[in-house]
Amino acid sequence: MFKRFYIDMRKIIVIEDDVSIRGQVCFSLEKKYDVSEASCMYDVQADDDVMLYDIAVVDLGLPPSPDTSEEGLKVIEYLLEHSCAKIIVLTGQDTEAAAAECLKRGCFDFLTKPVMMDKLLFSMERAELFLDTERNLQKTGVEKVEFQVQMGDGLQKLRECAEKNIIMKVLKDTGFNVYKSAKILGVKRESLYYFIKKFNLVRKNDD
Amino acid sequence: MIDLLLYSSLAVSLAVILFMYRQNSISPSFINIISRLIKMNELDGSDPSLFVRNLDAFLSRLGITDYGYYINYLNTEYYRPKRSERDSVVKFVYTADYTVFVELVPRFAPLRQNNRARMLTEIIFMIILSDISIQTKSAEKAFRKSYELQAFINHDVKNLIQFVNVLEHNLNEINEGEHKDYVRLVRYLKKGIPGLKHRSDKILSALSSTMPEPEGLPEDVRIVELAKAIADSYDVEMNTSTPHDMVVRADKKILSIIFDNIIKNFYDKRVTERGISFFMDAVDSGGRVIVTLGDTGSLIPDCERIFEPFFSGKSGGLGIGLFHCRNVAESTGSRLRAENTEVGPQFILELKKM
Repeated sequence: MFKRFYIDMRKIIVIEDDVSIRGQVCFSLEKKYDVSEASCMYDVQADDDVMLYDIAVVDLGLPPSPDTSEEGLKVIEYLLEHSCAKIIVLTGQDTEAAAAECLKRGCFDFLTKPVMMDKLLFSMERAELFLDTERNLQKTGVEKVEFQVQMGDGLQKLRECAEKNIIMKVLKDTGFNVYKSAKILGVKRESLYYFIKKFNLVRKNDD
Repeated sequence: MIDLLLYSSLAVSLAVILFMYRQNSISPSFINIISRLIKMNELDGSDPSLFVRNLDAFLSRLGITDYGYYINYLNTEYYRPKRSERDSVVKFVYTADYTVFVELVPRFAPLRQNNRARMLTEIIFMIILSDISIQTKSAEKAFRKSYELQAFINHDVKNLIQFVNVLEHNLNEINEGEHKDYVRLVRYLKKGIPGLKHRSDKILSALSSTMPEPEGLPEDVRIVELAKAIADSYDVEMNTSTPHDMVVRADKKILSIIFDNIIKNFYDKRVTERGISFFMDAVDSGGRVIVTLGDTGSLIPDCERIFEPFFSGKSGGLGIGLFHCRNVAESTGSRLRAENTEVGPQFILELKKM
C-alpha cells in the first residue's frame, strides 16, 4: 500500500495487481490527483483512509483469483460499503456478465483493456462532475439514492427498497447516530428504530 | 447425444456379429480377415478417411470389387458409389452430426445366404463409426483447449497493450523541462519491468506449453540469487539457509520458468492466507542439486494432479503452469514433484547438473 498526501486534491485509489500498469496509471494521474495504490483486497481493507476516496480505478482480476472477476467484485462491494467513491472498472475481462455485475453493484463506468488513457481520463472527469453535482445537491438537502429492483415486484417492494437505502445512507453519514439521523430524515426516533428493526440494519463494526 | 447414438449403433453391430458367431458362421480364415481389417485401421491412425481410401485394395484381395460408402463427419464427406445394379448388403446411420453408409455386393451365392458379406459390412461399419467417435472427440478437445489457451493469452496481451498505451500517453504528456518527472517515470518503470518481463514470459510459456522448450546453453547460475530476484519482483520475502553464492551449472531460462511459477502461486495464495512464509533451500547431492521451494500455508489437495495439463486448483486458472514446469524440467533430465509436509506444501526440483 503506497500513499501520498496532498491538500485540496481529489483522492484517487488505483487498485491493480499488475505493477507496471499500476505505476503508469498512477504516474499519469498524479499531476492532477492525490493518488494511492493497492494491489489486492487486503491492501484496501488495511487502508484507514478508504472512506475518503473520491474515485477508485479497479481491476477485476485480482489475486488470489487473477483470472476471474471474483476478487475484483469483492473489492467493489467493500468500496461501496465503506466509501462514497465513484468506481471506474478497468479490466481485461470484457465479458458481458462481468460488466452487468459491476453496473448492477453501482459502478460508475466499465472500461475494457486495452483502453487509451484519454478515455480513462474522460471517464474520471465525468465522475468528478457527477461527484460535484451530487455534493452541491446534497447541500440543498437533495440526496441521490440508487437501488435495483425487478420490474413487476410491485410498488411496495420499490418503496421499501428506497426507504432502506436512504435510511442506510443517513445512518452511515451520521456514524449510526439515531438522534441525528431521525432529525435529518424528518421522522421520530421511534419510527427510525422501527425501520432499523424492520430492515435489520446493523452498524458494520457490530457484525 | 452424439455418444448415445454412436454407442447404440455400435451395440447393434456387435449384437449381429455375436449372433453370427453363435450360428457358427465365422471360420478361422474369416477371423483372420477381421484382424487384418482392424490392423489396417490401426495403421491408418483410426482415421476414417484413410480407412475408406485403403478399403478398395483390401476388398479386391477378397474378391469384392463392388461396394459403396458415404461418410460425413466434422463437416467433411467421403463418397464412393456402388458401380453395379446388383443387390447389396447395406448398413447405415444418419444423425445431425454424422452419417455413415456402407454397402457391399457379395461375391458368391444368393444374398440371403451370404452371411460373410453381411458380417464384413457390419465390421466395416463398426470400424468407421468408432473412428468417427475418436476423431470427433479429439477435435472437440482440441477446440476447447485452444479456446482456453486463447482466452488465457488474450488476458495477458491486453494487459501488455494497456501498459504500452499508458506509457505512450505519459511519454507524450511529460514535461520536457521537468527533470523530476523523468526521474519519477523511470522509477515507476524500474518497479514495473520485472513484472512485465514475467508477463511476457508467461505468454511465451503458455504458447509453448505443448512444445518442448528450446534448449538453452548451460551456464553457472547462482540459484538462490535467481529465486530471490523473482521473489522480490512479487514483493515476496524469501527465507533460505542456503549460501547466496551457491553456483549450479544449469539452464537459467528453465530455472526461471519453474521458480517464477511456484513463487507466483505463493503470491496469489498469500492474499487469502495472510502471515504464511515462503522458503527455498538447495542441497548438492552428487550429480543433482535438490532444490526445495515451500511455504507454511495450506496443503495441496492432490500433489500429482496439479501437474496435469489444464487442471487448476485456482478458480478460473488455466492449469498449464505446473504442467509446463514439469515438462521443461524433464526436458533437461531433471524432475519436479510436490509433496505435503508437516510444515506445509513443498515443490522439490531434482536438478540435473549440466
